[in-house]
Amino acid sequence: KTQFIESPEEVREKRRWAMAVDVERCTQCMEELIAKTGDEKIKPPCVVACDKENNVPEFEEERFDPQWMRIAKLKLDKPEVNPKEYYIPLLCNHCEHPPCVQVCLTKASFKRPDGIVEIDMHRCIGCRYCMIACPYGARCFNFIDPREGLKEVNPNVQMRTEGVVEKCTFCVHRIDEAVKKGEEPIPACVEACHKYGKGALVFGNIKDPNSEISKILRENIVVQLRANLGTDPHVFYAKLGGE
Amino acid sequence: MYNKKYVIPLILVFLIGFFTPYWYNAMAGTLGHVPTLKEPAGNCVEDKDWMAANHMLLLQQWRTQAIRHGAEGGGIYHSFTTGEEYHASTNTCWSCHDSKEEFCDQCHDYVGIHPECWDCHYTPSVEKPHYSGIEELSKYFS
Ligand code: SF4
Ligand code: SF4
Ligand code: SF4
Ligand code: SF4
Repeated sequence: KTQFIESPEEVREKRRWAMAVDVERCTQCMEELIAKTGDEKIKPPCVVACDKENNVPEFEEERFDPQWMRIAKLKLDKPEVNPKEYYIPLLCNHCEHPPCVQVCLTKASFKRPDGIVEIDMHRCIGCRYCMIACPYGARCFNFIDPREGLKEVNPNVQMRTEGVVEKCTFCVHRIDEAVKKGEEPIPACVEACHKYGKGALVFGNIKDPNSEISKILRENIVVQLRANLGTDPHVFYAKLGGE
Repeated sequence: MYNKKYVIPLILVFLIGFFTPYWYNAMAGTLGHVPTLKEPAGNCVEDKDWMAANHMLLLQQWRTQAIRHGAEGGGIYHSFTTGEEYHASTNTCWSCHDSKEEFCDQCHDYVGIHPECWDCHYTPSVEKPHYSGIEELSKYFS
């Protein structure tokens, strides 16, 4: 019997991964990219990094094209107060009470003690019940063999197969590697955002009061998507509505 | 890459060379198939004979612990042969075996068992360039 380094209770006590987004900077980033390229559907650095890091395939037809991270354009519900339109990144919220895990009949979808919601591709039968259950549209289905849509491959992430559901994992392979080394994990999108974007994304452990994300959550008014549903999403959006 | 410093290739090469005649004589008249295995570039995580008999159980265990217990350190495997730590991943296999056709398929094709591992997991026969990291994005954004 293998003994692991930490017990689930210990992990739950020490780590809970979350992400914070500065919407103002995202909007600025997207507006500059659109102005430069003229392409409304341009993929910013975070999305491109996510696709390449996680072997997310690309297909011409949108309905067959899975996407772990997307950029959504939104306007607030009182345009007369603030007519500005915002761009925000959408990824899996890694909910504290994930409906997708509740409905998964094979238990392929599960929640780790550190809060990451993952899919065990070995078990997934592709029934898509979780896609219906997720209130954020974070999941997508592989209608086509993903290898056909990959120009290059990252050997550290499995490519998945036709007929399973996939979604953002918070770059779990990077997190596990960093935790093993005692370093701060940085998902691919966050890394790309800081290097090529506006540095809007912050990732960290909210159980650590000294982490950067804990400080951001303390000092800012943050919004959770569809907070009324009780899923308790762990992607927080700051500076919505201007400050 | 993955603890390659612990590799002792010469010993394994010697073992393979020494036992090849015995393999050939044992299998040639019975099974009708003698696998032409490409020699791996290093030492395996467990004893070779044990691996020949139980590699599927090891991979099954790695699969479960790496995914279901990843947060608790499940990605780390302690070998009971060498006592060393390894990454519980098929990439650990490819650090020594560099050809699926010349190793895995030699036996698997013959016995007709087609592993589903490679439907998703990376193998060296995937002829696509490797993603080199965040620096590669500089050709799109700068
Ligand atoms: S790269 Fe960063 S700033 Fe730009 S859209 Fe993505 S998260 Fe926002
Ligand atoms: S955002 Fe959707 S897919 Fe992600 S944990 Fe929540 S319910 Fe599940
Ligand atoms: S598609 Fe896969 S992960 Fe989603 S509910 Fe069905 S078995 Fe579970
Ligand atoms: S955390 Fe990783 S998987 Fe999730 S959107 Fe960012 S890059 Fe993609």
